[in-house]
This record gives sequence, structure tokens and C-alpha cells, in this order.
Amino acid sequence: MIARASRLLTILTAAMLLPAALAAQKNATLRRAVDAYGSLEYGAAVSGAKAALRERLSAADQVRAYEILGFGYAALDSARQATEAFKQLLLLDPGRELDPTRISPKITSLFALALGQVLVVRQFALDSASFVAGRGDVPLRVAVTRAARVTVRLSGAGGDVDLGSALVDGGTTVRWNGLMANGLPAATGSYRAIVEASAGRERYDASFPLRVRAGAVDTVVHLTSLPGYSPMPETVVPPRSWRPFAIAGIAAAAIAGGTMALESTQLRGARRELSVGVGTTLVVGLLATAKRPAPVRAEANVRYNALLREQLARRNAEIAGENAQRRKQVMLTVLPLSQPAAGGAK
Amino acid sequence: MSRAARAALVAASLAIASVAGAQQLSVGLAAAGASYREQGSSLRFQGGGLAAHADVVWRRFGLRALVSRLGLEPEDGTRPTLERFDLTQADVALRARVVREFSVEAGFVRRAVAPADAAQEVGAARVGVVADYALAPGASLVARAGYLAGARFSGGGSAPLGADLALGASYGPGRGRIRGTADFEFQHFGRRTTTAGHRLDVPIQSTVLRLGVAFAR
Repeated sequence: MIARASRLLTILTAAMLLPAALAAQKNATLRRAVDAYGSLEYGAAVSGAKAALRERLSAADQVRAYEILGFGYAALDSARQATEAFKQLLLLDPGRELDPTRISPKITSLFALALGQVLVVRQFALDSASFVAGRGDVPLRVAVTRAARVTVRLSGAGGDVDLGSALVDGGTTVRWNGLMANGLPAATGSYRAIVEASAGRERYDASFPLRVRAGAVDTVVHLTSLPGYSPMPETVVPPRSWRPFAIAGIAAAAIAGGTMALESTQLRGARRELSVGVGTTLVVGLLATAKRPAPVRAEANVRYNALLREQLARRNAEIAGENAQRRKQVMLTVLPLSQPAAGGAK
Repeated sequence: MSRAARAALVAASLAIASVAGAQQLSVGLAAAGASYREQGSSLRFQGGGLAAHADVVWRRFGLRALVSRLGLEPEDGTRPTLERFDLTQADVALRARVVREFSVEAGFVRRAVAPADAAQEVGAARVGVVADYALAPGASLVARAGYLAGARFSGGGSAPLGADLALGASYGPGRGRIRGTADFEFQHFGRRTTTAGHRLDVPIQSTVLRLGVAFAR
């Protein structure tokens, strides 16, 4: 009784979770099988799916037919046939997943069993990336259903390159530095990442399209100033002082004293010119004292600015060297294309 | 020195300045007041006139040319033996800066008198020192002391001691391209003559005050 209830529950769950797309089959036989499965006539569903597979089906219909077959056999407790159907399903659609939270464990366990028995490249992931060829790289993640030797190579407009081979159990990440087998950066164009997995006599090949754009690497702009450092004023205006008046006074006193000392006692001097000359000099000294002083050279600032200019020149020389290197480099942009993977067992 | 020679001297100074790409050129015109004395209290003259100068500075070197034309009259007008005369003085000196504000200079001074026998004509070489201070933008001060060597007089005699002292100040608005100038100059020759085997001291002394305007480039 419990076994019957469990079987009924399995069938109901699977029937509920059949994708809505299953109801829109192009092939009439397949459509009848889907309908039979929906009506819990799993025997008819299995025979209908098998009959459909003998007909000419599209790839999508083939996948759906094997799915109905797998689900039907599972509902009929035919584990071996269900596993075989799921294996065929995986060979056609390696990325196929069943949601364990919504599908009966009975079906998912048979699906997992099939996964362990078939060798397919289950996942190929590539994120868009931009990098300098030969300097950066882009990761290509590959997952296989069971332990196998996995070889990845890239082929396309710019030639071929072997990205390596490794024994993989589960997933691995292969990195491509943007260079082709001839050592040159990849040219702009369409490429395919070809993944070959082999375990004993089993082999599985899959290819994934991607697009590569090659362009120039941006150069660095030359600096006009060092960030965080500003030039200092090379001249500063000193504070006002009495120095000009003092200098005028000293000079006037010296000349007046000298004049009186040199004057002949016989002739006596004409003091009028001397008085006016000395007086005018003192007035000029006073005016100069009141005037805004002339800027004077600030040696510390001059040295600081010279150091700043030297650093700036050195940095710009480094930038020029870096730009010379950059002009020789190629910037690659790698984009995965959404085209479905093509693959197959051999 | 003839008038033509003086003009040529000033023109040559300006030409040298322009050819050599002078760092600084200054020309000026001034009204002058002067006092001139000889021998003793009897020969005293005073008067005024005009003066013109040109200064050229090129790197560490400078050339100064000054020409004054003065009309001098006896201070004591009651003496019939004294007559009015015109005094023309040319003063040229080449200057070399030694340290920041101090220069040494060498040149000559030539004084001509008309009529010729009204006073002594003099020619002498000059060596001296000049202190030149920029007091403020547009304000400067010049103090000069010189030894007048090898003086020759139209009336004969010699002057073992000859000296001149000068004090000049200039001031102008802004950076002082146009400035008012004031120059005081004192000149003394300790002239000696020999009369009937006796040595006679007949000093010559002059003071000049020039007030004018100068244009600098």
C-alpha cells in the first residue's frame, strides 16, 4: 500500500514538473507520449517516447523524448532502462539539471546514477574579460561528469593554441594568456574552445564559441604636476622695515661727513646743496620704508620647486617608457557567445 | 671737450647699450644748482643750469655718462675783476660690480670754462667705489667716492689730492620706470702752484645739486 502511494506520488510530482514546453511538441507521436505521461499512463508514455525516437526528431524533441522515457521508466520502477534513457539525455544535453527540491528523489537518484556512468563535459564557463595579451589571462572553467583526461584548445581566426591537458575529476580551470601557438596575440575574430575528455575508450568532445576583440592598450597621460604636491612661490615679500631709511641715513651721513672732512678751510663749503641732497635722500629713504618691499628670492622654495620639477620629469620619463611598452601591447577582450555548445561522444 | 664730442659720447653709450642688449638703460634730465670756489674767499661763484645723464647696465658692467652745463656768476657782484662764466663738465665712468651692492669704477672728468680765463679748466682721471642700493621697488640710493688722479689745470699746477663724493637718490611710483632724481656732488682738487720758487695752495672746490627726472627701461 505504502509502495503504491509512493509510486503515485513520484508520478504525480514528475508529471507536475514536466516543463510546460513539453506540451508544445512538434512531433505528433512525442506529443501523444507527453499527453499519456500527463494522464499517468506511463506505459503508453514509454512506448510513445520510444516510437517518437524512431522517427525523425529535432535535437530538442530528442531531449524531451529521452526525458519522458527516463521519467516513465522511473515511474515503472525500471531503474536500468531509466538510467540508460537519462544517459542518452545527458549525451544530448550535458548541462541538464533536475531540481532535487521539486523532483522525486527516486528520479533524481537515477539521474545521478546516469551522470556517474556517462562521460560528458557538463559545464563550460567563461566570463567576459579584458586583459593585455601575454600579461593577463582569462579563466575557462570546465567540469566533466567523471574522472577523465581533459584537453582544452582554442581555434579560430588567429590560429590555434593548446591550453593544456590534465586529469580532471569534477571541475578544473584552464587559463589563457591571449597568445596563440606562434607566440603572437590573438587577432580579432570568432574562436571556439574545444574541450576533449577521454576516459578509457570513452571520449567526449565539445566546443564552445567565443569572440575575441584585439585593440590597443591605453597609454598613460603625462603629468603636469605631482598629485599632492604644489609648487611654492619662489619669491616672497618680506615684511616692511626701517632698513631703507637706515641705509639712506647711513649713506647721507657718510657723504656729508666726507664732504665736510674734505672741504678746504680756505674755501668753506656751500652747505645749501649738501643740505638739500641729504634731506632729499632721507625723504626717499622714508618713502621707500613706507613702500611695499620688493619680493625676494626664497631659496628653500626654489630648491623645493627644483626637486619637484626633477621628480616630475623623472615620473614623466617613466611614463614615457611605460607608454612605449604599452604601444607594443595588445588589449584583448574575450566574450563568450550564447550559441549552444556542440558536442558528442565518440 | 667740444659739444660735438659730448653728444657723440652719449650717443655711443646708448648705441653700445642697444647693441649689447642692455639689461637696464636709464636716461635723465635735471636742473642743476652749483657753487664753485677757487683759491680763497675772493673767487666764489654760484649759479645753475642743466644736466643730462645716461646709465647703461649690462650684466656686471655699467657705463655712466653725465654732462652738465652751468652758468656761474660771482657771489659778490661788486667785484669788477670777476666775471660770469659758463662751465661745462663731462663725466664718464665704466663700472664693474664686485659684490651685490658694491662696484668699482674708472673714468675721467673734464671741465671746460668759457671764457677760458674766467676759471680753471680741469681734466682728471677717476677711480672709485660705488654703493648702489635698491631701497624698495622704484626707489634707489647711490653713494660714490672717487679719487681724482693726474689732474691737469689750464693755469698750471698739480693736485696730489683730488676727490669727489656723490650722493644720489631716486624715487618713482610702481616699479619706478619714471623717477624723480636728486644728486649731490662734491668735488675738491688740492691744487698747488709754484710762484717765484714758493709753493702756493690754490684749492678748487665745487658742489652741484641736480634735481630732475629719469626714465628707465
